[in-house]
Amino acid sequence: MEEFQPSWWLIVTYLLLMFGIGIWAARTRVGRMEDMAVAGRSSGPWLIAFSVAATWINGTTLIGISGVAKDFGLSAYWTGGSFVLATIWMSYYVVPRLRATRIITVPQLFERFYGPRHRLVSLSLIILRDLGATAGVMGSLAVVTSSILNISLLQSLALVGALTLVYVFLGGMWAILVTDAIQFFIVSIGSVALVVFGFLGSGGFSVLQSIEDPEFLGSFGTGGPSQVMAWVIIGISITFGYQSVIQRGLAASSTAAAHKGFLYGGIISTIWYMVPPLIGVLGRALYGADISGDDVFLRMTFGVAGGQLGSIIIVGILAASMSTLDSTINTIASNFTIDIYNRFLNPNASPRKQLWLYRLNVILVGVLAAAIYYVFPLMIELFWLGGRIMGASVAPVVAAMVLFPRVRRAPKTVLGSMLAGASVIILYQVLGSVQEVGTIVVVWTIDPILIGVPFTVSLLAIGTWWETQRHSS
Amino acid sequence: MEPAKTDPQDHKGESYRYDSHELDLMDRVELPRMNPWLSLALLVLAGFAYVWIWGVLLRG
Repeated sequence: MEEFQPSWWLIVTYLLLMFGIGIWAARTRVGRMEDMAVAGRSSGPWLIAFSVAATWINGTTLIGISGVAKDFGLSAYWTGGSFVLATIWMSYYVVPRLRATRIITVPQLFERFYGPRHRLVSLSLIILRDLGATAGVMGSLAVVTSSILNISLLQSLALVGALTLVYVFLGGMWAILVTDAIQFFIVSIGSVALVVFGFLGSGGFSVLQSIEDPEFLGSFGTGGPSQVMAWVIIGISITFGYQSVIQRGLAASSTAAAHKGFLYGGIISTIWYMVPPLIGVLGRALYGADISGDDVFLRMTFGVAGGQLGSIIIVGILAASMSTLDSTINTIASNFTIDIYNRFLNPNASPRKQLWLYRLNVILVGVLAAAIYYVFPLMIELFWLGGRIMGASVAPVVAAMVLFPRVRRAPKTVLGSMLAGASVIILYQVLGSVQEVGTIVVVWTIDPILIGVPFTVSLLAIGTWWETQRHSS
Repeated sequence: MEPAKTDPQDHKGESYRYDSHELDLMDRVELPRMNPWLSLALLVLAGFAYVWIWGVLLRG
């Protein structure tokens, strides 16, 4: 790893391009807070599609899923594949209907239907998840940067945070949409090249014969059906309430553009999501089962690729992580500004004041995420900790609100379901039985989400029936 | 700079609550005919087929 010399011109050119797009967006596109949050609702389908894909593809998925695949085989696909399949589903059933409400943030939706208490509860649960996700992605980016530059994790966190914050601060959602599209192509080229060179450099498919476990390349992998179903459910449930992705649909110029953007973006990422498991499987074949999960991707990059290709992959990692990080930072900044400042602290703030407060919140969110990762660096588990809580509380409620009119008339049930679902997950996280604590993920005997989601859905169904029956009688 | 598209609803303030007839605003957008949960299950099955195909390919 010490012998690897990245092409600095490539990395610097990439960063200057991102910075330039931030300046362009700030000068020509951003005049008010809505431009920062949802790009003035003026974006076309392809920009949405690549941005959705880039948001789902990040350093955590590249480094983390390839590490998970080293232990669980091809079935590690489901740690990300479930998210993108749910995105395709949302393009038909959720996004068009959410656009009809003209919301910018998900907590806004809760206030319009039920009132401020619901807004605050949903806001807390969403921020818990999004800050965890932001911290996880920032951490994966910092790990790579600290390896390349040979600097400490703290210095690395400060550097990657600053690089991303600059263009989000300047151009908000406009800068994110354009940079995401560019970042998507860089990530695709770098990651696919790593798989191709991995196969070529290791003598083709024959290298996989060294893996003795027959389940490794099976549909359920070494984790078995229970583990795979947990990944499927966690992915689907998180996606239903994933505000960073939902906001892409709200940024579209029309409902048709939002639908197409989600559909195309979902399909592109569904196909791509096999890349990290392939890298992990190859890593296991080349370096053996004893290699640490979080080392697989970097060993492959520095060992198999190297040279110019290694530099492209490094830029790909930067691009993948920055494209997700920028989105989650922007989303939380929109929550801080719209759901807290505009709603409760200063409802009469001038448009200019709102815009600058939004930008300050971008910086605040970046600093908070870096601090969280620094004190709790377990990468993918961090990503999923808040995800499980949100996935068993806000997410099923949002899906139910969109699909079932009676749920929109059951405020007590909605509030109770969110709080009870979150409590069940937190209790299970504390008291549940852990099978194995790995370097990348914690493996549960029964994943908390498999308890939490059915509980919340049952509560929602019974409570809605009871509450709306009572009103109608 | 292009002006952002606005809607009368955007100007109702952050404490705005829907009245009874606005609660079904979302239902004006028609959904596909296929049952949503069936379509989700089919998508997941398609995902399993995708993983299975890769498994077959890699086993040679």
